[in-house]
Formats: sequence, structure tokens, C-alpha cells
Amino acid sequence: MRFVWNRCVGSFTILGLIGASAPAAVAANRDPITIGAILSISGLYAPLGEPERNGLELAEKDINAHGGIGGRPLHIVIQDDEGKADTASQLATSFVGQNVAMIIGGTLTPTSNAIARVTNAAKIAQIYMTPTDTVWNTKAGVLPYVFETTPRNAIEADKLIDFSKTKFGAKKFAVLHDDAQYGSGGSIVLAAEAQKANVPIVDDEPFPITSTDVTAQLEKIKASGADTILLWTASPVAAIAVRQIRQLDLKVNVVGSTGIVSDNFLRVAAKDGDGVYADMDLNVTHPNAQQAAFLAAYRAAYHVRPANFASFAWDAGHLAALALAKTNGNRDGDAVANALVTLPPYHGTTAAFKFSATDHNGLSPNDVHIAFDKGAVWFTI
Amino acid sequence: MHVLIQQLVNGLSLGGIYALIALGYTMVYGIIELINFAHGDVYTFGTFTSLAVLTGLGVSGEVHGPLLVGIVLLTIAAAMLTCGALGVLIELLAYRRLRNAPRLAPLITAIGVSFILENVMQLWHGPSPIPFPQFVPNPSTTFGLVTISAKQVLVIVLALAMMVALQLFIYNTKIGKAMRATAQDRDAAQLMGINVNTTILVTFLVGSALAGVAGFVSGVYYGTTWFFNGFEAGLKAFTAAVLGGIGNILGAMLGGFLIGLIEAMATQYVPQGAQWSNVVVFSVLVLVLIFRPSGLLGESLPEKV
Repeated sequence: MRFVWNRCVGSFTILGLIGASAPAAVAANRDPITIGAILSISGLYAPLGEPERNGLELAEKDINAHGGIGGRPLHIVIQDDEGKADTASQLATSFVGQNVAMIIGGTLTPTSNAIARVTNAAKIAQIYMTPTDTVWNTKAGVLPYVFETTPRNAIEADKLIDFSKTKFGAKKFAVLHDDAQYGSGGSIVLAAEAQKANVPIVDDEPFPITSTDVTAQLEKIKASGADTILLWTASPVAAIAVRQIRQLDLKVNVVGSTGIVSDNFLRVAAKDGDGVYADMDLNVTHPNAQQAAFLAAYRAAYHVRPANFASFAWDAGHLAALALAKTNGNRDGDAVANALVTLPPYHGTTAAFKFSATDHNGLSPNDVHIAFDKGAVWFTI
Repeated sequence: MHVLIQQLVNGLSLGGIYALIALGYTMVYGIIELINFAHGDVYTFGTFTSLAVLTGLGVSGEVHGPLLVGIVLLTIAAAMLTCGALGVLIELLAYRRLRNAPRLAPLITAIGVSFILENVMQLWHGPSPIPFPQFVPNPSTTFGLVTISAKQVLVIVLALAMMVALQLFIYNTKIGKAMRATAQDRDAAQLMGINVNTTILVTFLVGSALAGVAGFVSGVYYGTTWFFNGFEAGLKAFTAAVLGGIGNILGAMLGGFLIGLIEAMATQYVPQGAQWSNVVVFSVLVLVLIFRPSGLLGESLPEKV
């Protein structure tokens, strides 16, 4: 039983979720392996944190349905940091005190950073779902215990610029981004990738993450002559921005980062969201076997289509289980980190993850899909 | 040049919402010298109530003609009534007993009321932003190089109309006179037979009803809301009230429009200006208060409400 997960690594299956295979039993009398999860389930970023919670809960059920971790049940304790870095830090410290095997989270760059400071000091492995590599890939070097299941922002930026050039013949870009760490980081990465791609960014406009009005920024973008707006944010302001772009009748293409891909965006942007493109990692329109099973399971459990961030959390949960199965439940950070970097490619719902000592993201630009909003539904190309 | 004028229009429409909220802050402060921090949340409650009415009426897409006018009036009336009643309730339950307490007590209570309202609204519609039906058509008209949309006109016109109505109410009604008297000297007003408690209740009723209008306008203009919407808007509106001269109705309106304009201009003319807009707004406030401690119109109209 102990090697249930190891055997599954190469062609990792989630078929148990839809009842296609007989699930292995979890020995209920054995001590569970506890993982702590810190997500932004309430607050401004709840549209990201809520699906992450769902994806993680689903992963826990799936893992236990398949025999748990070496026969031991997996118990994921999910806590809400409300999108606050200080709360995330307190929760991480509390989890360390409870001797959790790993920590999954956070949802945002500041919360992931806050957790990373704790996990790094306590030598506990962490997998976060924030689309930025700056948490593990620091100026001081790669943090050994910190891993990421969302494509790092350089991959996203490269994909978005390349897509805009190919699809629209985009020649002049404007960047509209939030002024928090994710948005500001995206702005820097987009500038670097645009330079590599030899296309000009003619305007760069930040907005406060709690803003409800970006018309002043849009007027500047309009005057700049940009033909494509790269919208880089995880804030719900994205939908407001799109509505105001249409309201001001700007003749521009709108291409967003993965942070805008949520059901909430669809609801708030409504018909104004039609024709907005963004990068999405869960291929909802042409899913492979893993993705199709995940989509079906998520729908069955929650009666909605999963948001992108649900799949990031699902993958984080399974990667954690695989690593802990390999260490035989040993929570030592060095052992778990070593297990993660030596795992065979894990075929998750995002792509096949292949971590290494220098790449704690394990994804490439080919793993990123472009999605578009049509009739308040995300489709992938 | 046209960008400047366009930004002026944008700033005015943004400022119109601040101005409507600022009226409530300034009225309450004018009469009982309380910074009612819950007022921003009453504004959000106005958006939530409007949303509930529109949902109840089954309004989702655009409507036109007399039906549109009817829906707008009905929704505004519902938002005003509900928010007015909420304001009265807050005064009765939270502030009245603290009328003679040290000033810190009602201030902290106001913050507590704000938290309560935010959590109630979070329970009502969840923690995420929610869409507001886009039922008001939004055609744009171009004057030369400047374009103004129907919704921008709606915000500005409603803000000005409410200010005029409030001025008429305060200067042409008996209760308005009682409010002015209470604002000047509460004890003397009581000695002259004015029911101070009723007057204060009416102040909360009217101020909160105006926040209800602002909430409706905000939903129509931005097309979305969430339980925490009132925090920042409330902060800006309070700043507007101080900038214009707290306790002064024209000052609150002026402050609201000025803050909207400053934000738009900062975005246009300061590099990465949106990040610095709060810095610019509060720098202007500090400068104004240094040279005119009672705000822009605080001295010229000493009679407060």
C-alpha cells in the first residue's frame, strides 16, 4: 500500500473520482498525514481562493479514495488568510507548531512570500499557487523548500505577447496592471519579454487593487495609440476595467494574465467580456484524460465548471501527496524537496510537472493555453 | 488638450459619487461632531439594496423609455428608504446612548458598526464582487474631442440635484431650521423647544438616504459591487468633507468633485500616477488644512448642518 502513489506517478490517474477504478482502502486506524493549507478564501481575492479550496478538498478526497499516502489517510487543514500577509504568516507559524507535513499556499504573492519566510526557517516544504516565480526564485537564489504549480510569469508574458502578435498583428502594447506585487511584477516581466520580442510597450498604467474606476488610466492608454492592452492582475478590478474599456469604446484587443481567468470575471464583465483573451492552463475545451476527469469530478461536486485556480490547487495537493509518499511520510523539508525534484513527470491538470533543483515550477510555455471569453464562458484555443 | 478635458469629465463623474457620500459625513459631523465611519458601509448597503430590488423586478438587460424611468425612480426610492432606516437604526442602537460620552467612545463604536455592516453584507452576498445589472443604456455623445457617456451625466446630475434638494430642505423646512439650530448650539436649541433627538434622527435619515442614492449610482456606473466597497469610497468621501469644510454642504460637494478631479489629473500627469493618487489627494488636503484649517468653505459659511 505504501507505494500506491509511487506506482501512479508516471501516468497519474484521477479516474477513481469518476468511479472507473476500484479505489484502494485507507487504513482508518492509522495516523493521518496532515498538510496545512493557507488560502485567501475571503476578501478581495476570494474568486481565486474559493476554487483553490474546492480543488484542494477534491484532491484530498481523491487521494484518500486511492489509498491515501502509503495507506495513511491524508488530512488537509484549510485556513483562510483573508488575503492578508500577516495573517498568512501567523497561520503558517501555527501550522509549523502543529507539525504539519507540508504547507500548501498561498493564493497571492504577498501571502505566499509571508508563508515562505516561515517554511524556509522551519525547513518545511511549501507548494503555492501564485502565478509568479519570485517567491521561490529570489534574488538570494532558489529557496530549497518552496515550489509553485502555476506557470511562472515570464512564461505567461512570453505566451501573451507571442499570441497577440500572431493573432492580432499587435504592434503597440499598453500594460494595465494592479499596483500590488503580482501586478507590478507582471509589468516588469512584460517589459522584459516585450524587449526580447522587439515590440514596444507605449504605456504602462497601474491601478490600486481596490479601485473601482480606471477610466483615467484608459484615457491615457487611448492617447498612447496602443492597439493591445495587456491586463495583468488577479484583482476583480479586471472585469471593471474591461467594462470601462467597452464603455469608452476603445478599439483595442484585451489580453489578460491568468489572474483574470475566473468565473467572477465572467459574471461581472458579462457581455463586455466577450472577446477578451487570457492565458489559462486548464484546457477546458480540448481536455486530455486527466483534465477531462478533473472537469467531470469538479462539476459533479460543485455543479460549476472549475476555475483555473482549482486545478492549480488540485495539482498542488497531488504533488504534495506524491512527495510525502516518496519520503514515507517524513516531513523533513530536505527530504520532501528532494522527493519533489526527483519525481518522474507528474501529469497534472495543468501539464506535466518536472521540477529540478533550479526550476521549482517545472512548466514551459507550451504548457500554457490561451482562453477566450465567449458568452460568459471560458473556452481554450 | 482634449485629454485634459476628457479627464476633467472622468474626474467629475468619479467625484460625483464621493460628493454624494460626503454629504452624509458632513451632515452628521455638523450636528453631533461624530465621524460616522459606518457611513461608507451604508453606501454599499445602498448598492446591495438596489441590486435586490432589480433582481426582484427581474431586471437584467437594458430597458428603455418610461419603464426605465420607473425602474430608476423605484430603485432609488427603495435604496433611500432602506439606507435611511438603517441610518436611523444605527443612531438609535449605537450612538444615542453615547451622546454625552467622551468623543473616543462613539468614534470606536462607529468603527465597530462599520465592521458589523461589512460582515452582514458579506453574509448576504459572499466575499466576492458581484455584478450589478446593466439596465441603463449608455450612449455616448461627443462634443468636439470630448466624449461623455449617459452614465457619467447621470452621476453628475444626480449629485447636483441631491445637493440642491438638500439645500432646499435645510433652508426651507421647519425641520431643516431645527437641524441648523441644533448644529449651532444643541443645548440652546433644546431650551428653545427643539426636539434634539428627533432632529438628530432626521439628520441620520437624510444623510443615509443620500448614501443610498450614491450606492445606486455606483452600481449603475461601475456595474459591480462587493461588501468592502464602502471602505475606500468612504475614506475618500470623508476626506472630501474635510477638504470642503466639514459640516458644510456646499463644501462637501466641492470637496467630492475636487478629489475626483485630483485623482484623474494625478493619473494623467504624474508618472505611474494612479499609484500616487492617494498621496496627491492627501497632500492637497494637508496643504489646504495648513492654510485654511476649517477647509475650503468652512469659514465662509459658518452655519453648519
